[in-house]
Amino acid sequence: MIPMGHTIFNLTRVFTKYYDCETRSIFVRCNTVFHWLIRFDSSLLRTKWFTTKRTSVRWSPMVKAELLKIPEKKLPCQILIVAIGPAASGFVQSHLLTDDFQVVGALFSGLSDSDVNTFDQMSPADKNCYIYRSRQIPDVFMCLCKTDVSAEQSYSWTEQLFSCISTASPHFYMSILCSYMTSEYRSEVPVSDMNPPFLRALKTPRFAGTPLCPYLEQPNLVSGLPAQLLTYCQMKDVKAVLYVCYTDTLYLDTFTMEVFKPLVQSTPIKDVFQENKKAGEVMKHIVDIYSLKNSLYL
Amino acid sequence: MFVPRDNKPIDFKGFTLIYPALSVGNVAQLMADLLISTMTMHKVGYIQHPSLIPLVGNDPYAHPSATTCKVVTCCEVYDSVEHNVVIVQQRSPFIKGRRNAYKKWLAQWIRECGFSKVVIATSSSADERLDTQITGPQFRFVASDKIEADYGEMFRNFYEWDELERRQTFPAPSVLEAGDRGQGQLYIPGGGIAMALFNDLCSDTPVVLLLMFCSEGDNIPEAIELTNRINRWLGLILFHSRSIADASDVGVVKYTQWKIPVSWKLFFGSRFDQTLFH
Repeated sequence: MIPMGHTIFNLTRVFTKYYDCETRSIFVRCNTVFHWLIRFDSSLLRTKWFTTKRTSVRWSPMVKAELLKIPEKKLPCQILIVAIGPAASGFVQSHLLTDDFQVVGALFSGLSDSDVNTFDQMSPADKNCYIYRSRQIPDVFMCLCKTDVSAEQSYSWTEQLFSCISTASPHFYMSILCSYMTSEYRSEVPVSDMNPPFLRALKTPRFAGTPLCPYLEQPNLVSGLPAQLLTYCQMKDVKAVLYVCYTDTLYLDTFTMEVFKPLVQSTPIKDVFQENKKAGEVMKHIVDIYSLKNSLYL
Repeated sequence: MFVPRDNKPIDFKGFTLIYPALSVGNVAQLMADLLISTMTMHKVGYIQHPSLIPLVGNDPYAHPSATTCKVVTCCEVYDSVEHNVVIVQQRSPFIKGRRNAYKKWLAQWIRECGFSKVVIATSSSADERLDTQITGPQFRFVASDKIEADYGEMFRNFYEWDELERRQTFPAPSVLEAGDRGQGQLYIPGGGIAMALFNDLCSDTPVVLLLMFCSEGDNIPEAIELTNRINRWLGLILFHSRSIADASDVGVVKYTQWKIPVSWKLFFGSRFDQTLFH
């Protein structure tokens, strides 16, 4: 018998699953009572224990009304900026997300009991990803994803995001911002000599410009949600650029967020950027929120 | 689903498909890398499926000093019209619990494409070998009926390849197990979806499964041996003992050895930071 892990059916008992190789069936043993309880057929194994978690998207009533009038059922879009992770989201929230932007949708990837949800996105544990659109220029969208979206859900997250946003425009530009730890960066030069935090980029063939930082060298890879988004753009053959910030700090600080600052002069962010005097204040506020989790020196 | 590059419809009829299954030591993927890199195969499309973990990076077959960016995704299809071969290279693992869904889709896609033959390359855990498998060549093959009829004699007598022994019991082999052909079942631990895919396809498609026994570690020697054997059978590349530069042979590529792609750099991570010991 091979133990397969625990399932908590209710709060009073813990059930342990065992897999029997010979008969290819699942046995479940209840730890409070020492006898075999249920036997499952192996075909049930696939449907019952490996349930797929899917991301779902909700759009505002205004957007839903607009979609009814459009034959393709997708909102026209010229610029889409997706920020993944606390550093990238912090940068977009402080430098790009002005009052001109309103929430038009949200992506939900599931909450557990200990998660917190605030509607003004001011908690470090916020799991929901809000989609913003500019009031003045309604084909500029931004999406902030502060949470970790697992590899399992990346496919459905991407599918749901593009379910109502069109990439068909010839002027469509997408920019994906994310961050990684320097421990995951492989190079012949030691990372301490590279002065982290630093930026690297990847772009689709259609993106004609040159990114503001070097391309991501071999053998480094990006996986997860940023990779799924860039893969989608690669397959749709649209212009997209991915910027990765490699940082060596565990907790969010302003230096890491400011690494993205030169991008305000790059396509497509320069078409969205407006000088924001409160950016420094907002960044400090965001760092304070995350520093509540940083209890190392308390 | 298969997404052709540039949205041009592609016809794979008559091509040979080499499918490296995700297996222990990634030997089959390393073999595919060597073939794609040496034959400079062209990327003809992507495979997008919800059961693959997403991944992007820069061009793995670029020149070491190249400064351009060509995005590579988690599963891509390469072909070589000159050698009549198609390779599906998968770079990331399956999402837990979705292997079967991908295998079903792949088997259906292979049937739709109409390949002339399918070569599934994989590897098997060396710690599950029978006593008779511990010594001698670590290469085995399993052929479907159609391949057995066309190439069985050649594999056994000319190339002297060994067929994978059947097992009565698994995982632990019985003490008296001799591995008689015709009795017992085929068992490839660590072979990924190779066995399941082979069983799915063998009834109506000419398919052969080629595997190496190996353990996790530096699997480049196993990959090179697997590549050499596949190359010997399919006749993809003729190696010369030295590079011949001849004015009359301009445009003809002379191969001397397998070309290691740039993505194999720093296989086991970066070097340690010297400042640690100051």
